[in-house]
Amino acid sequence: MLVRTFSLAISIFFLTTTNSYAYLDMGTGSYIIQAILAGFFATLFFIKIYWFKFSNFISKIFGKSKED
Amino acid sequence: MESLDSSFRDPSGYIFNLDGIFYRAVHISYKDNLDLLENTGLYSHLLSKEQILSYDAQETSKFNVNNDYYKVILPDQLKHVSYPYEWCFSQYKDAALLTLDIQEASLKHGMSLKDASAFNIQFHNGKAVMIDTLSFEEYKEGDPWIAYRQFCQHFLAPLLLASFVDIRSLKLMNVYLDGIPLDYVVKQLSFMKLLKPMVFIHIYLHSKAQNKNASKVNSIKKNISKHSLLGLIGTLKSLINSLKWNPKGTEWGDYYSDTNYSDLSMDKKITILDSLLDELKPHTLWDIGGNNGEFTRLASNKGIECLLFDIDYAAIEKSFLKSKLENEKNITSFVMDFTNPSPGIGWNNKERLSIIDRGPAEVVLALALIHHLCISNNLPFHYVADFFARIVSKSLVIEFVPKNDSQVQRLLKTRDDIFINYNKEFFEAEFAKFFNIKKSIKVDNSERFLYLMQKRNS
Repeated sequence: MLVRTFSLAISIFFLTTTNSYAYLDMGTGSYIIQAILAGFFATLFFIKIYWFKFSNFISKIFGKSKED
Repeated sequence: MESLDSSFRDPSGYIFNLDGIFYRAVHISYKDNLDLLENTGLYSHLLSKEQILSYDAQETSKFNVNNDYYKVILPDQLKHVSYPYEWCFSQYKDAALLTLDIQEASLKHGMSLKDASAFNIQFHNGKAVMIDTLSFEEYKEGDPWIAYRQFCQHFLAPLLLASFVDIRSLKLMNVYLDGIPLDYVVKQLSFMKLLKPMVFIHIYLHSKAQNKNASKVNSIKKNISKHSLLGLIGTLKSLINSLKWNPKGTEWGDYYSDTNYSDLSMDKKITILDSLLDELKPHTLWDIGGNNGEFTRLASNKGIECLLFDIDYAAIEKSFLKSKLENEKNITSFVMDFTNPSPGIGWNNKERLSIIDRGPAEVVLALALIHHLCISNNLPFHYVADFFARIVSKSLVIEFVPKNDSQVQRLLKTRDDIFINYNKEFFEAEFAKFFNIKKSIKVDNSERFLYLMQKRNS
């Protein structure tokens, strides 16, 4: 993970972003982080979902069920 | 209707006060979002979890608001206002997790938080609650979370500094009104802490990206999926959940086992206070320097709305956790040093109110406090009496701790005794300029006295 984040850190220095017109200034850097790491965060989200389903399945086999 | 001094940032609406009641005027530009908040079921979802302040729509014609305003709503009225720089660690953590829970629920209902200010969270009936109804906007597929930086500055940064560096870092929110700058946090954290993957991303990379790209406006456009935003929220939640603070070596940790009180005099003090509270029957009470709230709870258990203040993070942490565990609804705990109480800050020094402007309280308790103010902080009795007269509307219950008390002797151990006027007679004379002294009761088995004083002209 560190190698990945390090390479992302380097790529950040070569990216720019759009202006924001909301009442709150989002900050260019915040957009860049979300844009660059979008795939990474989505992957973590799916891992969490499937891990939950998997552990729930295992729990059911052994007679315990987690609530959603 | 004039808006409150704190209600100017968001053009979606403003708060005003009419006859002591706070209302919110909603601008026509926010109509679609407010409708969406209700129609998507998000509002009722958050309400069912007690995560948002409830509101009722009012007859707009009853109010003197201009035609650009679509609705006036009456929110459930807050009993007190506390600010992030007055919270203990667990209060802060609860506020942060609540904000993330709300953003997660918002995304699932097709909305998103357009701001994530720590000042939008208040402690109401003992629980953290979101007070800004106008913070929600329609989520558009592909958009980033616009309040991500604000969340990191307002919540993540103070919590990381409190957990990894020093609990007193929470007070930095008093200086940085829009949250602690991320580059500042980077400089405070050790190399090893910065290497934690999520700290590295949300703080280090975030900070560097900000600095390097702040002046560039060339455009790139990338869609950010909802799953990605939910993943982002998940990582922030995990990180904040993992943060801990264990009080060690703090001032008051074992105060009650290290005072000048025998069990008998402690019982006597409780009995005296109990009967004074029954006599006074106030609606509101402030306990100044109340440690972990042992005496405050004598009042809150009688249904009195209590604010507990103490300088010590450990004491307030204990009090808050007890309130949470026992579902106490009428005690709110504040970390505050009354030798330097929260001032008015922000624009015009009015955006966030001083603690004096948030008063007065009907009754103020100041137990075992006078020696800290007068001997540790060199305050003359006159100054102390003057201050209490400003924050009390009716009665002051104050304890006089004489010079021969072991607690005072301890304070004098390392300094010259320059306090020639620190005695009971002078104390009474100076306080009598602001208060009528109604009762003076000696606490058995100690040299201390409890006073009931009534504010003059009240």
